[in-house]
Order: sequence, then C-alpha cells, then structure tokens
Amino acid sequence: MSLLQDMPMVMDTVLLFLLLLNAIAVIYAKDLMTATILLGIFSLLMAALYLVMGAADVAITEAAVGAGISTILILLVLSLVGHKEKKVEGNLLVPAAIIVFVSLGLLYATYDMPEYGSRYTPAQIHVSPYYLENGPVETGIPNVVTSVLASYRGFDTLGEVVVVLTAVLAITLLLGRFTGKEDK
Amino acid sequence: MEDDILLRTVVKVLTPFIFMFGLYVQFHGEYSPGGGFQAGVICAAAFISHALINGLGELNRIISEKTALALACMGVLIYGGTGVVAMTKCGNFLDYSVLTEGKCIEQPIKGNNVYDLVEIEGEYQGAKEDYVSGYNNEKCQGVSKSDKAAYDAFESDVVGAEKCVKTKVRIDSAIKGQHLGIIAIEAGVGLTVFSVMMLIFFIFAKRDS
Repeated sequence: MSLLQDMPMVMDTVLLFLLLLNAIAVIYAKDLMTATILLGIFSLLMAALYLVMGAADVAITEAAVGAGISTILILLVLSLVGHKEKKVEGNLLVPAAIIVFVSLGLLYATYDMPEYGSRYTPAQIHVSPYYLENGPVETGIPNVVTSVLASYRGFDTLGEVVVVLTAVLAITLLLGRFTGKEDK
Repeated sequence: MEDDILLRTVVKVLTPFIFMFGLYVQFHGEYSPGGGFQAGVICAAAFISHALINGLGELNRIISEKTALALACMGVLIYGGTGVVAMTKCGNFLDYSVLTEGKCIEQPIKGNNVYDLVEIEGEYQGAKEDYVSGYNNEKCQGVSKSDKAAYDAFESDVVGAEKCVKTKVRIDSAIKGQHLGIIAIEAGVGLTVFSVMMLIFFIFAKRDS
C-alpha cells in the first residue's frame, strides 16, 4: 500500500496524537488564558479530524462554536474573574480515584463501540439509506445533512432553537437585571 | 486590548470578511456545509470581536440588548410560523411540500370511507416510487406530453408515462415548497442563534462595568 492510500489513516493518527499533546498541555498550563487558547486549538484539531472523517457540517460547527465563540466568551469571563488559577487545597486522593475509576469505565465501554468507520452500525442501516437515496429527490437539496436537519427532522430542530432561546432567557433573568429600562 | 494597534488593525480588516462568510454560510446552507446555526454563530463572532476592540458603546449603537432579545424571539416565531402556514394549506405542521400550493379547501377525496383513502395514498406512494426510481435510472426525466420519443418508449404503458408526468409536476411543486420552507426556517434559526450569542455577550460584558 502506498502512502497516498493510507493518507486518512496517517492524518487520523497525527491529529489524534496532537489532540493528546494538546490535552496534556491544557492540564499543565499555569495561566488560564493559555489554557483557553489551547482549548481553542483543541477544537480546531477536532474540526480537522471531523473533516478527515467527511463530516464537513460537524467540522464547521466545531470550528465556529468550539474554536470561535466559546473561546471569545471564556476570554470575556476571564477578564471578569482574572486569569490566575486558585490553588486547590485539601486531599486530592478522592477526586483522583473518581477520575481513574470513571476513565477505566469509559475505556471498558469502548469495547462495545462499533468498529471505526464500520458500515454496518445501526446508524448506517436504519434510516440513513432512505435519506441518502430519497433526500435529494424529495427535497431537491443536494446537501443531505441540511435536508435531514431542516426538513425530515424539522420538528427536532425547532425544539433545538426553542432550547437555545429558553437558555438565554434564563441567563437574562438570572444575570442580566433586564428590566426593560436602560441601565445607567 | 483597546490600545493595541496590531489587534485593532487585524480585527478591523477581518470583521467584514467574517460577517460576509457568515452570510455566505446562511444563504448556501443547501449546497455547502453549514446552515442557520453556524451562520448565526459566525456573524455574532464578527460583531463581538468588533465590540471587544471598540468597546460596548460602539456595539450598542448598532444593536441594543432589547433589540437582540426581540430578534431572538422573532427567529423562533419565523420557524414556528412556517409550520403554521403549512397547516393552513392542508399540510402537517412543518410540512414544507405544500407551501407553494394555494389555500386549503376542505374537500372529500373520492369517498369518505377509509378504504378509498388508503387506495389513493397507495397510488400516490406507487407513483412516487416510480418517480424516484425514474430519477435514478433517468427513465422519467424529460418526459412530457409533447415528447413523442418518450411516449414511444412507453408505448406499451402509456398510463405509466402519464403517471410519470403527473407525479413529476406534483413533486416539482413539492420541491419548490421544500426550498422555500427550508430557507425560511434557516433564517429563523440564524436570527435566533445570532441574537442569543449577542445577548450572552451583552450580559457578561455589562457585569464588567
């Protein structure tokens, strides 16, 4: 096999390795500002990984939300609370034990995951073939992801938008002191 | 941050391009990756970076907190309204296929008993399947009443060809409706997400002062 055929595999490996390095760097970053920027890079690497997998819509969402807007919002919060981490005191044994335990559980759970890129997972054989075959014909839209999100699953997306609106209404009520009058 | 000439210049140059890209993602949701959600986030990022450099007052001049809240609600109303419009045209809630059709007039189709309805539904499904398979093997494409060659090809089954034409007209109208509906709801999603991001920024930035 040539290198060209193995290219997705090589890209996956390199990107996953970079993700690991990045995650470790986030843990060891002393400054919260540095950690935030590193998390932004993490999201960008994730977006590249999604792109290699062929999920362009997910990639653009990850880049816009993960690397873009959430980085900006976290920076804004840091400008309010300062960017020095508070020293954690007390016994760290219990939290460490919990982390190890949960990680082992998650690792064990990965054995039940379908094989990477498998065509025979329930997600691939249930309704996906119908959407792929009929989506462009029934909705006239070449981007199958859009036709599923906006048309076939339009009701779900409506719920999603309502959730976003409800969340911001809650934030406004809790933090905004929004009375309808202009604040001084 | 507001005094750094490098940051000021970079943001000033990039902001219009970010905003433009956001609009591109909004209007090309059907053809390229992305849609209303991503577009709203990208446009909000453009406005927020503008505000980070020029101060909150500058942003307040363009869009106020109250306007943002109103726009967020408006987006959801546009989305839900599209569904209701479909209902007024004899469709289900959020069934865009009927959007280009005229006003709905209640009329009993053929008979009132359930077997007739099942039969009609079955006929329609059958015709649709014909069309879908025709679309795939190009059997139905380019078929029209004046198309002699196509009729000859279907000579053994003229009814089939006629069905093909009828279904095609019906499905073309449905596709137009789908297009219209999806543009409308994407606009609603984009508006809501954009305003929500702006509101979150407003709330946190105001606590600064």
